[in-house]
Formats: sequence, structure tokens, C-alpha cells
Amino acid sequence: MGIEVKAVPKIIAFVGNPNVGKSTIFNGLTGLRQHTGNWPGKTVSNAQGSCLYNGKEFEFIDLPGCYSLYPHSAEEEVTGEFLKSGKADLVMVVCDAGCLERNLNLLLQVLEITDRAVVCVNLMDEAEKKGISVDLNKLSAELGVPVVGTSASRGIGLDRLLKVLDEMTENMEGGSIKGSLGPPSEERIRGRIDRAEEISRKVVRFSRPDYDRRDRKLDRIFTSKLTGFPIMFLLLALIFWITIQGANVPSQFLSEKFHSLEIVLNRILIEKGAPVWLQGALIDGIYRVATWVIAVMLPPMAIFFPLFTLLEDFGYLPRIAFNLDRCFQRCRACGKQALTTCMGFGCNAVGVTGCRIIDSPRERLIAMLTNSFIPCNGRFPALIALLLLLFAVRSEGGGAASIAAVFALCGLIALSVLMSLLASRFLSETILKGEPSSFALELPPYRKPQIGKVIVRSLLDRTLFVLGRAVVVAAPAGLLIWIFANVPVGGVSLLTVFTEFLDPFARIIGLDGVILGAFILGLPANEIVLPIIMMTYLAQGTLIEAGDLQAMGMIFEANGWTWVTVLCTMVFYLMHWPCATTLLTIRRESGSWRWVGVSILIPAMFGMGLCFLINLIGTAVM
Amino acid sequence: MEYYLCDLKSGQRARIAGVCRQDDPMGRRLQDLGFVEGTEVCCLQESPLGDPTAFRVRGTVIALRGNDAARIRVESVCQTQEREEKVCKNEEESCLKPQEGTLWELR
Repeated sequence: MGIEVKAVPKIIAFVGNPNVGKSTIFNGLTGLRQHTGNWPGKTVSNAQGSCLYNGKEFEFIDLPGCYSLYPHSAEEEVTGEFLKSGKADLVMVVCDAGCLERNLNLLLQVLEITDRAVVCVNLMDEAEKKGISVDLNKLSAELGVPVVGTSASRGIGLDRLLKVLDEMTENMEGGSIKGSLGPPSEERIRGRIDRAEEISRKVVRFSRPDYDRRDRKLDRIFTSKLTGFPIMFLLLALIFWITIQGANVPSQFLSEKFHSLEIVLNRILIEKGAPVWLQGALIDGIYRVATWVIAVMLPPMAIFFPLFTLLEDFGYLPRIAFNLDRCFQRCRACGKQALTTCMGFGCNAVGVTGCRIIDSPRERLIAMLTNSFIPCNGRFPALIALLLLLFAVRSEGGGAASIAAVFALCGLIALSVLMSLLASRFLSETILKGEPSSFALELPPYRKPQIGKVIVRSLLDRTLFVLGRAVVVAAPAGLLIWIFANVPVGGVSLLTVFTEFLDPFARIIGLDGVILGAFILGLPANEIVLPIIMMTYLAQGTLIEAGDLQAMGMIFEANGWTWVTVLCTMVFYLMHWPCATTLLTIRRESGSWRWVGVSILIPAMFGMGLCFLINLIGTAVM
Repeated sequence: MEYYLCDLKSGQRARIAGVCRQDDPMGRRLQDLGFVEGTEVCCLQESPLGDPTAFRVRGTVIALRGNDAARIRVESVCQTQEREEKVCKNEEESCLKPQEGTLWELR
């Protein structure tokens, strides 16, 4: 009888500065056998993956990028603690061949803790293009550990890397990594810097003194007084335009397919003799809302996120923060909030999670609480529809109308960004008082993004996210709303009671009870607000399709909408409360329900205030 | 007359003479990024709104706000020539050395 002993996998920690391509190597080695999570107790994400090589299992832990092991931020604390904990068998330090000297600081710190290390010098191809060469053998001799050169984005060197990792773990004795740096002292820090300079001088050769000429040229274009801002606006407008145009056809397609499926499902239920109310609850409630969310959310997200990731991989995003930092400084917020704002365009929950890049807790909170001012992908379709109504352009989304709508949309977005800045200023003067923290932003070299890989990875990621959201949030919401709309209370549905109750207050801010009620019921997902409005007006107990813009316009007119109502609805759409997913994310990231409450109050106050003003002025003018 | 990093104009290079308040978090962060005595920095450009400013230090480009750049005292300020080929004429102290590159091998 053989007893099968499962070998314990070797645990390898990935460490390195930000922007060195650590994640590319991680993805290259683990493929899809990885998952992202959070470090327990800390809101810093970690990625864990595994790989089988030479019959052995390796487990890789991708630690967050950091500049040093002395803890300045949560990321660095996590890295230091992990290396102290004894959990890792081996550490792999990833460096950028193009800026080796700076990377050496962290590397030397790691080597002070342990000699169970392998160095991976990545981005060798990019360095070669710039005429920078690194003598890997000499580097290995200087450091006393194995050094492997890679071009992870091209997949070069990864096999060799695995071979070296395998050899190292074979030849090591038992035990693991357990050390930590002593307290920081002037001499030690200076010593490391000098040693890094010395090694770099021996090992790195620059054959061209102007090796970063192309990067500097690009920077001059992207951040100059003349061209910096216009290019930024144009790029963002372009991304929006592609998202909106590109999402039309797939959304229609999905709607149609879901509708056909619905007919089939209905028939099955009837044949089984299911009672009418069950049919209503399942199909009209759950199925309709969930499929609406998928049809409306998935196409724009599947387009926006890959585009955004491409821009991120290219290296453009830090330049946005560079351009806009002054504005954020004035509001006592962090320039990196510009980046989380950009992320918020895709999805507010993603934007809130992205606030982890902001070191100072105070500034991080400000960014989280104001992120929902930024309209997310879920709100774009409704905003466009309302804009087209406002321009009284009754078309089926033709090209010219789309362009006008996109420009007006850009105006709305500019308004929302301005409002988020004002809200940030407001918060930093009242409940989140403090001095602006210090801020060092790295402007990394521009890289050619791996277009194919990014698109595939993004698509998979986003599809799973939207489907998950449809099941977890939209389906129950659909059921609830159906109940609301179909359970009679004294002759009318609960929904009617609700909207009539809200009506007086809603009128003050330029809306009506139905609209306000729809916003409240739309808490689970912003995209169902417009359908709920239509559904209530038509006094139907079910959610209908808003396929025809003309019909929608007529329905609104018949219910007393004026241009003031449309304007107020649009503004309120920009500034009301965050959706349920975002609220839950804020709770997780901030750790308390108190901040969730603030995140509801701030945009709601701003939105109601602005709508009130618009209503006042609008009705006076009419 | 004391010069600080925030006084540098685009295209000027200088050597760091000292960093004030090295012990607080930002001071440490500056050290980690390579802003220490004796390091050469080059001022690249300002943001279109005037702040922050991008500097090249030890091969990396870092943008610092005015108040942070004001911590760093500099000396030996000089102007880089426009055409980069001339830059390394007297480059003993600088990290950039125009030499024949040895091609790296990927074994």
C-alpha cells in the first residue's frame, strides 16, 4: 500500500517597485490559476496563484509594489510583515532594467533580511530599445544571488526563471524567510544608496545619453501648457464616444435575445401550471430586471474597461494626475484622486476600491466619499436618452445626434467633476479637516500595452462582475419592486402609495414623486431608474423596454414633464446617492457605517440643492 | 544665496546639498526615491497649472509639489544644453556614460 504524500508547495513572494512589470510576470507564470483578494485586516489587495513545474507545485504571492521595506504606507507594511512572518520560502525581487539603480534600494534591503532570493531583471527589451544594457552575470556576482533577465510581456525568459526558482528551492535547506530590517539609521540608508550607485555603475551601460528622449517628447506633448489639457479632454471624449457608440448594437442584441428567452420561459411556466403570481414574480420581477441590467451594463463596461486599462498600461494616467494635481491641492485633496475619478467613470465601486493608491487616510476618505459624483457606465445610457429628449431630437441614435449628445455629455461630466471638487473642498473644510499631505508621483516610462492580453483579461473580468451583480443585486431588487408594484393596499399598489407620499417634496426640487421614488428604488443599480419611471407612469405592474425614444418622450410629456423636469432629472442622476454595490464597497474600504452615511448625504445634499435652484430659476423663466 | 529644488527652472540641473526634516514620512519617502546629498537632479518640466514639477533623479522621473521641493537644498546649478549629444562632455560625476553597450544575453 502506498501512502501518497502530497508535497508542500513552495511559497515564493514577489517583491518589487511599482511599475516594473511584476504583475505581468505573475500573470505569465500563473495564467488563470490565480485569484485576487485582500490581506486580512488590511484593505490592500493581494494576488495568489500557482504553477506546476518539473512535477513540483509553486505558489506565488504577488505583494504590492513598494519603494522600501520601511513602512510608509499600508502596502509597504504588508510587504515587510509578510517577509517577517516566515510564510515565504523564497523571495523574488523584480527590477526594471531601465531604472536599475532605484530598484536596487529595495533589493539591497531584501538581501539584508535574507539570502533566499532570486532577482528578476524585467523589461530587458524596453531597455535595449533605449540603448541600456545590464550585465546580468556581473550583477549576480555583486549581489551573490542568481539573476535572470526577462521580457515578461513577450514571454521571454519565464522558462529560465522557473528553472532557476526550481533549482534554488531544491538546493535550499529547510526553513523560511523570517528577518526584518533594523530601525532606520542614517548610515545604513546612506550605505545602501551608495552601494546601489556603485553596483549600477559597474553593471549598467548607457550607450545613449538621451535614452529617454522619446518619453520626454511625449511628456512635453501630454503635459505642456498648450496641449496638455486639450489632449486630455479629447482622449476622454474619444473613450466615451467609442463606449457609447460601440455599446448600442450589442445592447440591442442582448435585449432581443433575452426577450425571446423570456417568451420561452413564460410558456414553460404556463405549461407547468404555475400560478400567475409566481409567473409575475419570477419573470416580470426577477428575470426582467436582471436581464435589463446585463443588457444595459455589460456592453459599455466591456468596452470602457479595456480601453481604460490600455491607457493605464501605456502609462498615461500618472500624467493626468500630474496635470490636475493643483486643482486637487486647492481642495486639500490628493492629486491621485484624479485617477480614482477616472476609474469612477467605469464603475463607482471600482473607483472607490482604487482609492487605495492614496496614502493618507484623510485624503483617501475624501476621494471615496466624492467618487459617486462621477457618472458611471450604468448612468450613461439614461443620461444620453434624457439629453436627446432635451434637444428634442427624435432620432434612433443616428451619428450626428450622437455627436451632439456626446458633447453635451462631456459638459455634464465636466459639471460632475467640478461638483466632486467642490464636495472635496467642503469635506476638507468641515468633517475631514487636515493639511494636504505630501505627494511624490512617479512618471514611469511609456510602454506599449499588450493589446490582445488586456482585452481578453478585461472582458473576462468585467463579464463576471456584471453577471455577479445581476444575480446578487438586481435579481432580488427586481423581486422587491415587483411586489411593491403589484401588492394592493387599499385599492392601489404600494408603489403608488409610495410615490404619492414623495410627491410634495419632489416637486420642490423640480421632480415628481414617481421620479424620486424611482431613484430610491434604483438604489441597487442605477440603470433601472428610467425603466421604473416608465413602468409607474404606464401604471403597469411590469418593467418595460424603453426601446423607442419617441414613445418615451410622449409618455413623459403626458405626465407633465417640462424641460426643467428633464434638466433636474439629469442633474439628480449625477448627484444622488451611491448605488448599493458602491455603498457596500465604501463600508468595506472605510470600515464603518458612519462614512457610508456621509457618502449618501453629501451627493444627495448637493443634488437636491442644485435641483432646487434650477427649478426656482426655471419656473420663474418659463 | 541658497537655492532650493523648487527654484530650478525647466532644463536646469543641480546637485543636492541637503534635505531638511529627513525624519518625517515624506523625508523618508524622498530618501527612498534617491533624493540624498550628492545626487544629481535635473528639472524636466512643470505641470500646465504650475505645480507639481517633474524631476529626473537616478534614472527615474518623480513629480514633487512646490512645498516638498522646497525642503531640498541644491548647489552647482547649471543649464543643460538643448541637444542631448552635448550633455555628456564633462560628465565625470553623472551616472550617464556614453560607452559601447554590451548586449545582454538571455540565456
